[in-house]
Amino acid sequence: MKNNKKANSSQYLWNNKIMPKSKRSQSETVGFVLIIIIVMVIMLILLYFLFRPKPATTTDSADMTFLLDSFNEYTTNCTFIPDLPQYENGKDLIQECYSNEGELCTDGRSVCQVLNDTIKEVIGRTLDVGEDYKNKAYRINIKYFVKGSKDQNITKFSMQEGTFANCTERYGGYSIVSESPGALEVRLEVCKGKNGK
Amino acid sequence: MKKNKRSQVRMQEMAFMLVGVILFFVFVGLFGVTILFNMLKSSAQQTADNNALTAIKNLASSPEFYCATSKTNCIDGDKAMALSNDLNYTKFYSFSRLEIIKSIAFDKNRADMIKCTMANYPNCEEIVIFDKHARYEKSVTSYVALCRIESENGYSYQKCELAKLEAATEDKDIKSPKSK
Repeated sequence: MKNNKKANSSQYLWNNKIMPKSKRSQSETVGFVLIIIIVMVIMLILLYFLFRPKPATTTDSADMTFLLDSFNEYTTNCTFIPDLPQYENGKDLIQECYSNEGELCTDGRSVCQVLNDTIKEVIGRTLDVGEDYKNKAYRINIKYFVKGSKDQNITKFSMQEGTFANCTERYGGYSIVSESPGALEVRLEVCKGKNGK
Repeated sequence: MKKNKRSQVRMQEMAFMLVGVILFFVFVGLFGVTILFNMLKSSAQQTADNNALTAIKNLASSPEFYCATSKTNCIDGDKAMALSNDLNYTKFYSFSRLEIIKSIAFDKNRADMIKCTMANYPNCEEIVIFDKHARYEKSVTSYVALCRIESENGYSYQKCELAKLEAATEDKDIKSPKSK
């Protein structure tokens, strides 16, 4: 009973003497504002983790894989026998460029040069690459690998058009061309920018 | 102010505060759910696009289109020409339009493309297999190798070029006219 009276009197003192009513409302408001600020900070941290810039990884696109598959069958204007229309296709040039890079087509260009020109003509034009376009750059890497061997992923051919800078998205695809005893992996990577048609 | 009145006011304050806090968290929750839903939606869209592409790839491997030689992702241009405007095929496929566009016409509008006929083939740009002339369309495209038999110096050989196989379906949701 005595304790209760003491508590009531201290409450009375707190409410009316130590902390006047106007001050109390102020502290309540400050508390509320503090809670809101804490929640906002937590939300901002969550949002940052949701939308933070992701490390530049290339997403595989089925469309780009089909483009490479179609390129493999594309008939180039390189032939090794004069007056015979035995034109090499994209896949043949990839194999020749790996195994016999000094070989010349009948028009005097090396197989790797024809491969380079054909990629520019077929893939470069299809993707519409340039500063004014959405696709800012693309690169093609051809690597040789033998399953289980230590000599894996040796780049045998590489070409690039445009510059890989400020890419908002990177996408690409790959295609496998057999080359006994291993295989050649043709990988296409495209850099998509923010603006452009 | 009497003591019970003061308590009522305090309870009211507390109630308002609770309602405010609950509303605040509800909005925060809704915001989070919307973001998650949008992310899920874009991922579902990507999966749907990839499925559509795979469906088109299967179309390119169907006996009606595939090249006789063992080429991957290849369409026989001569077969496609034979099938073009064959009315029986409009019922065979569930698409509203099916066509092949050669790479030389990739940057052209559909209206400006030179349509392939028996008279101008292969010097043309667009092989229309069929077109049901749907008002609103949603289309998917896939790159293919379009091959045909050519002859040079008395020898025949298979010439392949890059093309796009475009399959469109009637879209009742989108209220915009079909694009190029």
